[in-house]
Amino acid sequence: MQDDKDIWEAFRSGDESSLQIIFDKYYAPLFNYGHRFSADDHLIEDALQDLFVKLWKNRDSIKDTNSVKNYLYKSFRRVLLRILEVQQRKYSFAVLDEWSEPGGEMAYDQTMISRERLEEIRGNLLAALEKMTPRQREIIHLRYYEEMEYEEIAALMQLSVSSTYKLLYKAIDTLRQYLSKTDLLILLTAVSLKKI
Amino acid sequence: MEYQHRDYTQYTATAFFEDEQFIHHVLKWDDEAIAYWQQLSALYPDKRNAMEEARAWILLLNKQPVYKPATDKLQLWEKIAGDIAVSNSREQRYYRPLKLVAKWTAAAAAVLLFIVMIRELSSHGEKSYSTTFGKHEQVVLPDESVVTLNGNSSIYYSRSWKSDKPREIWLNGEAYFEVKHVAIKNRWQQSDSFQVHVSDLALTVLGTKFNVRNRRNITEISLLEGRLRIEKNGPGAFVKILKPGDAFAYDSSKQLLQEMERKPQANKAWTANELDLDGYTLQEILDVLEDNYGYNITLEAPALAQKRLSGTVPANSAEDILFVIRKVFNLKINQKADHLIISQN
Repeated sequence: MQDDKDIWEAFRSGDESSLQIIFDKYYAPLFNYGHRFSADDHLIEDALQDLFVKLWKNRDSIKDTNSVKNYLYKSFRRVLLRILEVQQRKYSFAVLDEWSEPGGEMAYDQTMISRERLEEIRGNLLAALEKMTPRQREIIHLRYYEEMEYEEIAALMQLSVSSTYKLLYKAIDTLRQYLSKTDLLILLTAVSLKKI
Repeated sequence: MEYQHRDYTQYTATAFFEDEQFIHHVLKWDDEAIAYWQQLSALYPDKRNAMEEARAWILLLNKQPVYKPATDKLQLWEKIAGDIAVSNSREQRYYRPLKLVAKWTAAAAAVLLFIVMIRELSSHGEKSYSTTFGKHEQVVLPDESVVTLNGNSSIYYSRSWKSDKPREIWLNGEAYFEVKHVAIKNRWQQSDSFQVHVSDLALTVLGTKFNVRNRRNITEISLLEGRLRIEKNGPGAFVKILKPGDAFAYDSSKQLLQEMERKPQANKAWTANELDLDGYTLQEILDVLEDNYGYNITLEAPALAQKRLSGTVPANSAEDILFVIRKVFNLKINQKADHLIISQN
């Protein structure tokens, strides 16, 4: 974090190589975030180019920031949504059905969860995400993937902190409604199996 | 992270999924966190399923692979660097110099503002007007009285004229006053008066028209309307009340007040751009030219100094007056810049 701040400071005072360091570091995460909004890689590239050229042009008026990451995400999101708006594309946030193979973290008490059960959970989660609105999906992504705090999400999505809480609550409620149904189903099958 | 023990008996999978401490444990699992949650799952065996499910959700969401675009990162940076180079060369040509100009302009404006403020403050809230040689100026005072300044003259007064104090004004040179009457009839008070400070005199009036000329230690006061009180304090103190038509001259070197030969109407002729010659000697006319128009005059025919004329001449400019005296007295006028050498032809 301190590193980020120093590099940001150097960039603001006119050091182009510092901007390149920032670009190197945030290219992949920003592209990954942008990919959720649009599957068009060239469009994401345009947005990134626009963002970094603007950063350079406005370097004199850019303020110091507590989090370079949040600053970049917020600016990138704005630039990207603007491009999408101009092209009259609807705001969307994709559900990706690619998942990492559960690695070490998942394995520490494998005894408690079977591979089949994990597949089932994954399928349920995917289905629940599909049911969510794009904004709900985005907030889930920011909270669980980007690991952002409520205040950071609020600033990024240009919401008040209380609306951010509300939006996340609704997203999780969608999850709950969907999953409780399948939970009930599992329970029923278990009961019927017992009968036999 | 400080663990706060909570009651988990009512917790479902979604409740764990939302729980700050639970998320932290799943994502940042250190020994302390693992120990805490293992203890918890032993404590609530019926919650193990829910906990595991929530854990799986969090991990599935968190450990998604980073998207790998088909486009090239380095190529994109090259495009950005190209744009930056273009913007840099433009900046050097236009924006930077402009910014510099703007910066200096702002600095200059700030300095100017500072100077103006200092001047305003140091003048103690006084307002002043002055004229250069050969120019007249009309000044409307806060009470709507009008002062006409002759050339090379100045007035100043306190900016804040309070209604409970006499209106006071200081004069150098020559001015014609048309003072507005502010007193209510028959209820005159000190505060209604208007005071002109000139030389070491104080002239006090109500609503009047009068001319004051203060040149070369001589102060001439000519009253056209109303009443005027001349007051001299200190050594040789006196008070004199003037009636309309009175014209008095005060010599401050002798502290002597004498009635004048010239009449008030003649003394204010300058306000109509005329010079009433009745009662003027040639020397006095030359003095007017020096005082009001800034000439430096040498008269090389001393015999003419006390000669007199009568009539009114136009005085739109010094040339008008010079033309008349040259013709009438048959003079030769040799001009070098502002220096006039006058001799008999």
